[in-house]
Amino acid sequence: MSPELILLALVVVTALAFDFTNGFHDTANAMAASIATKALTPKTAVALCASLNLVGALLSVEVALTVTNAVINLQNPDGTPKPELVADGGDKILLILLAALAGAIIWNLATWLWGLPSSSSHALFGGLIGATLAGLGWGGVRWVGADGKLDGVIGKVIIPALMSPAIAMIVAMVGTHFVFKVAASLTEKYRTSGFRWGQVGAASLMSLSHGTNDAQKTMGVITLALIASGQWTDTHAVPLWVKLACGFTIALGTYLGGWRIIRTMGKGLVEIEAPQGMSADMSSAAVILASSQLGFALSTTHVATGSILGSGVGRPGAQVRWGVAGRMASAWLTTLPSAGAVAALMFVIGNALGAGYGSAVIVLLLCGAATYMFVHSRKEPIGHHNVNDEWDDAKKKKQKQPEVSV
Amino acid sequence: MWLAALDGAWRVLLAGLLLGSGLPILFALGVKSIAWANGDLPDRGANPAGKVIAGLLFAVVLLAVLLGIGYIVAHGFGYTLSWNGWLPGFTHK
Repeated sequence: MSPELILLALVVVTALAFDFTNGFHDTANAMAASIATKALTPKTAVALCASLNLVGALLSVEVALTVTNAVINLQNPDGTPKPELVADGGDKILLILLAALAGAIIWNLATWLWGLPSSSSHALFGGLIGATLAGLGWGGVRWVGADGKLDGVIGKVIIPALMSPAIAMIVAMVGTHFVFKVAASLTEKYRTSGFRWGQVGAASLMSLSHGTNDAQKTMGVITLALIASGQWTDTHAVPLWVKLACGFTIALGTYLGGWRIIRTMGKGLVEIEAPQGMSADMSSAAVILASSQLGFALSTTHVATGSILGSGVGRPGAQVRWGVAGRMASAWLTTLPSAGAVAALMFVIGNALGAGYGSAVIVLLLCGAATYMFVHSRKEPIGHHNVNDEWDDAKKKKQKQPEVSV
Repeated sequence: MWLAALDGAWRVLLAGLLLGSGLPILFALGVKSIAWANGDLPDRGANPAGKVIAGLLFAVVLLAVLLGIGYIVAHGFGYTLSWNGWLPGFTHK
């Protein structure tokens, strides 16, 4: 294998690794509420979510080749890489993509370890921005859209991130408030089992929609890498193997389930009862689909979290753990810059060593960080067996103390 | 750009309130109607009319869910939802 092909192979494998973390990071968005209300058993929930993600990923024939164009200037409007960037055989573009993906994966794993639902798209965009800043400088990044359009880092990422949790929260709050009014005179039997179907339906819609949107992003990145290295030329289609690989990888990630995140979303924010769970999930599904139709880019994670919070605020007498919500909000604010900083560092290291050795070192660093975080997560494992245990703030603090004192 | 953002946001909020808050309320009313049909509501006897009302309410929710699936599938094939008067239809992007 020539050095170029090895570099390309590393980018493809790393992109699939990102796709995998994207899957398990986002299982919670669709399924946390259904698992918490016991509308579905944990294992059924992840299996359903994974199947629908796979169907969604394979269903799309639209090409998301221009996914990086939202935040950086690597590609022409038709999706081909800028000619001046592939003059060196595509090495620089591939190294930027590799560093970006490494940054996104490391941040996704870190937030998973902390059990925080951060946005995978923010991590990917953050990585792309950081690696591009390091590789091409300030002008490589598309900060704002032209002619006041909602585009660029500000318009496609930051503004929607500020607005979408609030919108979802209002919608879920209003829905929950009235649903509890209607359900007030119902007996326990109707309150629990009656609302399950509505909830499972809405959660399924979200899973399907996630498959069509998020797997596409990885397909776009891999296809861009293939075009940049001259292995693919068609800008109107994604190679079939790329589509299959991305679909199965995101489904596998979803099936393994990010249980730490599911636990925080389902048990940590508010105690979710069936009517609330249904309101929250329908609110998320409606906001996600409506914004997709209206061309308003937003993050599924932010919407799902906003909805669950809203369902807590809207239910009379519910206790919302604002401390947990605050930790989440801080993770949202830091996702883009943190993934960006890691990616920029990766690019600087990789670039200093040359594309050949540099890319290998980036992948080794990534593997090291991933192994460290995985081993760390085993100290206090969370899985389908204990995902629904009571949320105990006091216990959590006690367990944390030895770590601090060491 | 902030104007464009606000413009997008209020539309999403409106659609969200209509579907995201409205459908759960209809669903809850449907569950309540079944309880009514079964005579499980306090101060009210069983009434079979509850089943008819529940059927109608659930049909509306189901229709919205089907429209949602249709939207996702169509979007994947390069079609988008458009409104022909009040009737939804799919047109090529």
